[in-house]
Amino acid sequence: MKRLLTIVGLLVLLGGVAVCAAEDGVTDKEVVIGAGLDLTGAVANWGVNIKAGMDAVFSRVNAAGGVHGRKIRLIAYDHVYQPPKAVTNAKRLVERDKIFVMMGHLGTPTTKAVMDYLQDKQVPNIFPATLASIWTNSGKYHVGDLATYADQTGLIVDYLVKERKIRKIASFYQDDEYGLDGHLAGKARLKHTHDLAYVAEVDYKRADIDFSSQAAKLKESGADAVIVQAVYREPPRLAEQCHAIGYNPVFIGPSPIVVAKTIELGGKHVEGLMGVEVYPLPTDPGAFLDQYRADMAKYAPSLPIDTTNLYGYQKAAVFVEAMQRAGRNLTRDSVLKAIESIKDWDPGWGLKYGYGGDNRRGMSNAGRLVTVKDGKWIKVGDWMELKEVGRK
Amino acid sequence: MTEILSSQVVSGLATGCVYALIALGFVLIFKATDVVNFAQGEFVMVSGFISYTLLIGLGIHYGLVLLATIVLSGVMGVVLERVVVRPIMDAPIFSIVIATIGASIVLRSSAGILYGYDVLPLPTIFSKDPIRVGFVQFTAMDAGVIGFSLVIMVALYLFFKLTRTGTAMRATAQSQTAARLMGVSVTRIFSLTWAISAAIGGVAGVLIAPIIYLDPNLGFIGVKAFAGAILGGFGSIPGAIVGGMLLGVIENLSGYFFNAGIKQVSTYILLILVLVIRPAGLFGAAPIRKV
Amino acid sequence: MPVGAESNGRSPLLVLDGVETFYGAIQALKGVSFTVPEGSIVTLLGANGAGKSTTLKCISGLVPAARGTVSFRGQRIDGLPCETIVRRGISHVPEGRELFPELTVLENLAMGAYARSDKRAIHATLERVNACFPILAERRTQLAGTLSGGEQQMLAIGRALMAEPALMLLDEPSLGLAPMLVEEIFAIIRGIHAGGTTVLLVEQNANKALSIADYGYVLETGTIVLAGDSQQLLKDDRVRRSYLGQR
Repeated sequence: MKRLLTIVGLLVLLGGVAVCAAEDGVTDKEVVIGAGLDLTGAVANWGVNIKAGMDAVFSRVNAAGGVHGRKIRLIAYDHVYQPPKAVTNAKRLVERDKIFVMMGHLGTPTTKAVMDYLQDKQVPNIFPATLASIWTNSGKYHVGDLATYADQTGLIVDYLVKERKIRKIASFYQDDEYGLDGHLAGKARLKHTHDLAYVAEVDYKRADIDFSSQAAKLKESGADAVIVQAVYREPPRLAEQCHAIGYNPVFIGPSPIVVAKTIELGGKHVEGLMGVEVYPLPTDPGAFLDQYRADMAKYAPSLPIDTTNLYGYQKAAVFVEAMQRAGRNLTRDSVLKAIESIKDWDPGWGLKYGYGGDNRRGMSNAGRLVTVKDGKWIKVGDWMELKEVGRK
Repeated sequence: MTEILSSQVVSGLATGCVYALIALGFVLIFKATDVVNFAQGEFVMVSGFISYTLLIGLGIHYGLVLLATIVLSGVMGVVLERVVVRPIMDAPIFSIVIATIGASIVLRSSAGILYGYDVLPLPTIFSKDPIRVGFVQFTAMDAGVIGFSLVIMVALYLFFKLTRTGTAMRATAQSQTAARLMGVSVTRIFSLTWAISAAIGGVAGVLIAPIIYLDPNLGFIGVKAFAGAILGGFGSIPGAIVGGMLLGVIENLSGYFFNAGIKQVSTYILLILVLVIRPAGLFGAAPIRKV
Repeated sequence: MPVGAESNGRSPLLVLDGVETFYGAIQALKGVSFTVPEGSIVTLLGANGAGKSTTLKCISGLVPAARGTVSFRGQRIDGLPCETIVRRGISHVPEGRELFPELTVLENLAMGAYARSDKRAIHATLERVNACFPILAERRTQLAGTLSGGEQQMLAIGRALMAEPALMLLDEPSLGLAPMLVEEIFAIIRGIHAGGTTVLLVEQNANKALSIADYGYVLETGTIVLAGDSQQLLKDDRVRRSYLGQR
């Protein structure tokens, strides 16, 4: 009996010590970071590569001794691009694995599903791999990083109307938080700035594979340009099915379509497809990109360099910079403050990062147009600071 | 309007033909062995990867690849029956069905481990460029899928109707006891049934993978085909064909007249409607069972 | 030692010796022994559940014999699968006919010859079966499931004949048929026998069965309790009381 009491007492003591210790996920030697990604589902190409990109940065940093003596350990679970699974994974990461922060969480609908939970647990949601506007205006725990789909769509609409003189524009969008972000922003931009409206608004569901009815509706609308608020599977298939019925509009969409996979799947049907880029091409020159290419060759030799893994790579690089700035006393608050301290900072690729103000937490708002030519993504315009475009 | 509508019907028919082929596989195995094989969709997926490997990895000629894929799919069907189903043939049907679900998960994960979960483009000999006949616009791909499916269906019909083995397969489905008494090896017929079902699934895979891309989750198309088989009356071969084709067309038209949400559920709305009005499905009759 | 008719001078075609079978834990046959001489009609009599059908199933291989032996033309056939036994020359017309209801009459007959490969010989058999059952020739494109009861029984027998068996096992061929049809079926059995096929007949209608049979065996709860010449059995008191409904 006495022994039992001693054990219980010890346990209570230890529990007390644990509570007194630093933040979850931070020990003297280690920082544990969580990610919810799609590794086996409809957008697995993004998930697998984002993880590889982040791992490459963390591996290099760890090999050099870590950040302020702490090695970074990334735990990633597969949510298959399904919101309910994303919630289960987030709970596992926060409650069992005791992660310090969530990083690079993939997908708009999936990240939205874990948003309130992370907020309640006060776990920062750093640089989710979704550029919906919501991550730039939802308070201190949600930190977006690059130009939003809404802002990108603003660029698309302005380009189509002003430069291409196209007035009949249609929207093809994924019917969820992701597709609606750009879709609604485009609608607002057309109305307020150009006094126009979409000639057709055609939706599809996540993981749909057949767009023949959408193609028919778009053709009937007579649109000269179709904005595709989609990922990499849909633009090739939609283009194919439009071409099959003799309909050849301009296809243009935000950054998630700007990946090599789109071209691999679409072949000649995606020649001329346009997209928006919010960070450089993996083949561009620059010290940061040289480092990226070297790290990928070393730590993920089986994966070709691609916008998808560069996306994860730059997130991890900026986060490491923030941890450096936060110093040895690493807490969730200190790392959030460190991110806010990043202003006009160029990691070495000519693109500046900076905290955007009280109600806007985007790090960079740069964007430029790209297109597919001869089976490659090439740039069309120069970098510009994108305007903030609302969804209303 | 009619122009676009007719294109919709043709492309729906192409998808529907693929559903019909997969549905046929479901029905053949069910009729012969009373087992609903939930790994049927995985035959489609695996055959896609087989032809991808042969085409891209080994650079073999397309015609040979097609033939090899069909044969290898058939072998896979036999192996699955031998390894997964036959050892538990005396277990309750429910257990066997669960075993097929297990097999489908294993096949899906294996494909994921071997090839990754990325979507891959499977080459095809059919062009995706538009063809115009009268006012109907479609692609060579659509025509190829429809044509090839019909050839397979006719060949199957002739096999079952005219050959000794085909007749024995139908006979076994109706009375295993009598078939054994006639000198039919029922286990051989079961193997053959699985081989044929898997081979048809293989054809479906080679036809559909270039259209909707290849990935380990391709097998989920089996769910739609299963719905098509029920629509036609589960257990009826003409039902599987008509049910599958109808499903493809209805899906397309509902997407055209309504939106993506309706398109997604149209299959199931139709299914429920048909089952309420005709519980046995379009072609299903009250099953003839002898005591 | 098998009891029965071998003493009569004809050589035995089929010999059962001490055959036992089980359905799960229930023993259906408790050591059945008898012989069927070549060229004879032998009938198995017995009440429901005595094991008559099971005995036939043991011979044709549908049910495995747990103990004892079944020999056909001097060779052991117990333990062989059905599809081998039919090729040795035994056709079994099972109780309830077990036709292929969704196959046509002609396809059913073709299935009967499944174990054979000589197309010309099969065709010759078909001609003979058609001559024997003109109604089947008439209905050859009709689905078997749509035939009347009598026609179905004829088809079941015709299908078994298609294998050109040396021994035909008939299980309750008159069951559920109108009296006139029963007569016809028995005439057919006599015809088959006349054509040189040995017949082992299980019948409820013991009177009719014994009237065409050479020998009879009486089966009770899994064992043979009585054996003899059919004329003797017709006169036997026990048989008369129990199976012929006479007092």
